[in-house]
Amino acid sequence: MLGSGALIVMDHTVNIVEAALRMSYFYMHESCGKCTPCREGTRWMYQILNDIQNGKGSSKQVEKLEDICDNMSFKCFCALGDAAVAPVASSIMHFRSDYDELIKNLESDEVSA
Amino acid sequence: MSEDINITINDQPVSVPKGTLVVEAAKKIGIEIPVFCYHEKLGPFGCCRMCLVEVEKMPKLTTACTQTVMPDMVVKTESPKVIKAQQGVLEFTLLNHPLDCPVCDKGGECPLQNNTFKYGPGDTRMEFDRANRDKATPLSPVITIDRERCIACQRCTRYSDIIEQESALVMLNRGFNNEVGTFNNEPYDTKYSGNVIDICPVGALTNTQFRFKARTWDLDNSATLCAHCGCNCNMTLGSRTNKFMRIETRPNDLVDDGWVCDKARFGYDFIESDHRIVEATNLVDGEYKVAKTLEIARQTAESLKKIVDEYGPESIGFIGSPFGTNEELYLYHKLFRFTLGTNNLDHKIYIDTPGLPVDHYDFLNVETANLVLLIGSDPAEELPILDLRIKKAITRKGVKLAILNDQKTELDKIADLSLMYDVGSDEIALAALANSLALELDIEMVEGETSDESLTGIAERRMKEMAELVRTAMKVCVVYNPASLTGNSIFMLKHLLGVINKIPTMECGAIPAAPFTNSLGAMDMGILPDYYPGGISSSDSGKVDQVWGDGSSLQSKGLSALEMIDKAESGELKALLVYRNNPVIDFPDRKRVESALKKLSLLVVHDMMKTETSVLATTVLPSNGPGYDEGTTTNIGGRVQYRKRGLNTKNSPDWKIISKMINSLSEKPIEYLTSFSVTEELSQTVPGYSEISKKSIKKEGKTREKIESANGVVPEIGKVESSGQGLKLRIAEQLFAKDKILDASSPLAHHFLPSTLCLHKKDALKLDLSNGDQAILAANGVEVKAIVEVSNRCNPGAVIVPRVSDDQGLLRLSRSCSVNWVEVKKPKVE
Amino acid sequence: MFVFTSEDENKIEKIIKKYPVKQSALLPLLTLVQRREGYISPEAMQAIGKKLDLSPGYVQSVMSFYTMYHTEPTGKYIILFCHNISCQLNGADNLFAYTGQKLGVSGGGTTEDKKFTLHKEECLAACCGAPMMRINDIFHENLTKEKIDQILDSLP
Repeated sequence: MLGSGALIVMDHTVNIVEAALRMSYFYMHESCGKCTPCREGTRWMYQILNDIQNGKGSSKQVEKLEDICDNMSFKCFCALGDAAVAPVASSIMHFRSDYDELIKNLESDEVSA
Repeated sequence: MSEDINITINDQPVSVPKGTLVVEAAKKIGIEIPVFCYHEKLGPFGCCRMCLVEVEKMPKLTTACTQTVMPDMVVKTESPKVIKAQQGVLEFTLLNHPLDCPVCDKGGECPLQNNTFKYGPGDTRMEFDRANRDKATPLSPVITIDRERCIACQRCTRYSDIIEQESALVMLNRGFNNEVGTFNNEPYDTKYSGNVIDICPVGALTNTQFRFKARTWDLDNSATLCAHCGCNCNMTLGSRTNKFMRIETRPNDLVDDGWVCDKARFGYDFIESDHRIVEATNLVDGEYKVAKTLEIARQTAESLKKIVDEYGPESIGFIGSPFGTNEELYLYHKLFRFTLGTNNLDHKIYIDTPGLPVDHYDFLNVETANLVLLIGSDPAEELPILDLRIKKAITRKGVKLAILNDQKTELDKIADLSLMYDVGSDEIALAALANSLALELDIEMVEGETSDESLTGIAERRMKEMAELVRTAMKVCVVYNPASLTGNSIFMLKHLLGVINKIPTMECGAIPAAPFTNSLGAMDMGILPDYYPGGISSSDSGKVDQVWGDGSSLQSKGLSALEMIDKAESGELKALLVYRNNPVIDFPDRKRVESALKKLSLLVVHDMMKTETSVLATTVLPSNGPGYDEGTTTNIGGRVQYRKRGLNTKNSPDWKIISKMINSLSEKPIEYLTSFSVTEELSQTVPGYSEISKKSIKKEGKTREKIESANGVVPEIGKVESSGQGLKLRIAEQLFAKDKILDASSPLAHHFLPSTLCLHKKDALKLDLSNGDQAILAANGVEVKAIVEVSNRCNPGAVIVPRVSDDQGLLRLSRSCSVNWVEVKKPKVE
Repeated sequence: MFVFTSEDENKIEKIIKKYPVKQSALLPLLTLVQRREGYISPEAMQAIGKKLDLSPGYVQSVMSFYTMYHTEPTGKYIILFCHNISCQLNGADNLFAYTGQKLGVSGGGTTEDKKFTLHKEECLAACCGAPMMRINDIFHENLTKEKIDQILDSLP
């Protein structure tokens, strides 16, 4: 997974959603605000990831994240928008189970409640 | 000519010039590509991403507003990929946009609403609270900003950068936190700030005056013209139930390039002022008695006729207005010349003659010339939209700018060469430039010494530089303000134009840039003592008779406006009709003007507002004026356009009142049905106006044919009044002055300046005055208070005083339209 | 009132000469003021605008884009604390909280004695030494609580 231009190796102890959340914060901060998909999209993705990370997410939101990634990809003014998509999209693609785990906890909580 | 490129959009072929943007090419064949940030006057930017389209062989979607056409390009604007992208972008755009459409002033004319309606997703997937930002805070006294509604398209900030070139409105902060703002939260109050309201694609920037006044779809919109300066910008006057609501731009590239100044947008409160004259009154036994307007018109005509019969036609006069329409002025010309038989007609206090020895250039020529030569003109204060056009030409079209003026102006910053002559030395300065060129051309020169620096304050070497700029320019557009020239300098200016025109391979044209709505029309309609309409000299009786019929030529030489005041004072002039002019304030020496006017046995004032002159009148006639009147005006570029009525009135239109006066004295009355009936008549009689008709001027106006000026004689330099007490006075125009049009309650009142006098530091030193000091201007036994500004705005030996209000009474300090001297002194210490 | 010193004037002249257009000297000039004053006041923005023929609004627009230009007076030492991914994975959040507590400015800000300004910053390009912070111009890498104590305590 590529972060901000560096290769970062993480072991299995790292919560991948938390890492994606951290990186999406970085992109939200770095977005210059000029073009709409990047300015709005980076913030929205951060908001959703934040929900998921805090156990308030749903599987629908993960699908929505994927669609936001699609709506941003190659539609921004510069490559920062595309780069912002990378950690989110690839984390979902390769570590979907990490997301599901955070969501499942919530959904099973809801069932038991 | 650039070659055309063929492309296909949605299977439709289109051929457009190289360099055309895809979004414009699509427009050409009626295909709409939605945009927010793109604006044709601002050029490509590509930040809103609304205009994404698919181009065959390009891997990604591309923005149609930044993509220029390429040969054989195949564009799709409705493919599934594009539709998905449009919905995605709109979802992002709307993500944090508040849902206050029901109370938003932009509602009904909002590109965001419209694009969402056509291209948007049907619902929202936003699960979080929308961002909260400042709602409805003042960006300036006339503009309200709602930062929640802003979609950060940057149209307004780019406008401030590219068009008005002030960079006053900017994008602050970054990312999601970016917002439109100004330096240190100062008000955004440039001369052209209001245009951002029109170009804002959402309800973020709104007209403070118009907020919550009416729904846009309930407005009656009238396609009219601005009636302030000589640009005659096209605008839309919106009203509801016959109440004035707002002014918007109505783009006409040949005139305003899509913009209006703030005086146009926010300076129309006067049309609902309490000071309007709405009924005709007669002074009977010291009291004004109201009567029917047309009845008073008839009585007025008969009274004038009686005076003519008793004292001769030289005993009456007409002071018209550079603010009236062509039709009104034309009818007054007929009334006074033919019905009453006098040449005593004028509309101004400076000397000017109709016609040019070179082409009469329109606004577009400013952009297509190689050099703009600006003489005695300060467009930013006098003709703001010309100022924008010049800025555009210089900074974006590669045109050079040379300035010859007696004061520093904003445009000096971007000028290639700017020379400042001493106040009052304009004639010699113009002669010096003409001679510098004539010497090279080996043609007749103006006699006498012109090049000595002591005469004008400009070194011979510098003037030669200017001559060189002109000589090598190939196409020169001269913009001059006849009202700023002293004495007879206008003849020297026209001589200079003639000389420039003699340069081999030179294309030269001029724009006579007087700062009044219809100066050109007033001259064209013959409101001059020495010229009939269309620039026919009144001494050319053959031509006069040819146009107007045998016996139309009058023997008497007419009096100029100032001469009429002289004759009124001496008792020779018995009656004067003043039409929308205020000599008491706008002519030199108020005391004398007042006493002269009081001596008249008949003073008729036909005006739209109560003035210092109307209170002296024996008869007052109501004039409808802008907003209520209709007719044509001729802008400084010679373009004749139609000023449509914006509001209804029960009062008789001016043309009907004047026509009543003519008809009540005429054996063969002519009844006009509408103002266009007058237009039709004048198009047949006024040389240069033959192509002007209701139809021909409908869309974007039509330039009247060029009016030739009689010339050939090289003028002589007049005697220079080189001695006087104190400093030479130069009164400078101020766009936002507190007068009858903009009063204390105007939304533009924050622009009003205190009475200020600008000194060169040498004079300031001599007078022991410094910045911010109180000082007194004294002349004619009159004193005017002002605050000192040591700004080197003029050369030493003069003082520049901006005309900031009617109350300031500046004209009381002057005696004539030549050089006036004034003493600047410290106030007496009590 | 903000005025450029004669030393500034010399520097500015040299900076402007480096670029084909004056406008390009904006960031270096902002940096010059930031370094000398610790922050950029509206008066300084106006002075810079005058030097470069730019409107003060434009200067503020550029200035406000960058987080390393401060609009309020800062302390003698500006601590930029990286909290981006590499540093975060290596415990930057805790260390930042620790530093804030130690200085009495939890969450960042300027200490009462105006000695320190603590500020979270995105990647400072030293991931290899994460977690890290930058104090004025010096990078301090591989931070631990002890190391932070030692560094901050040693600053005069």
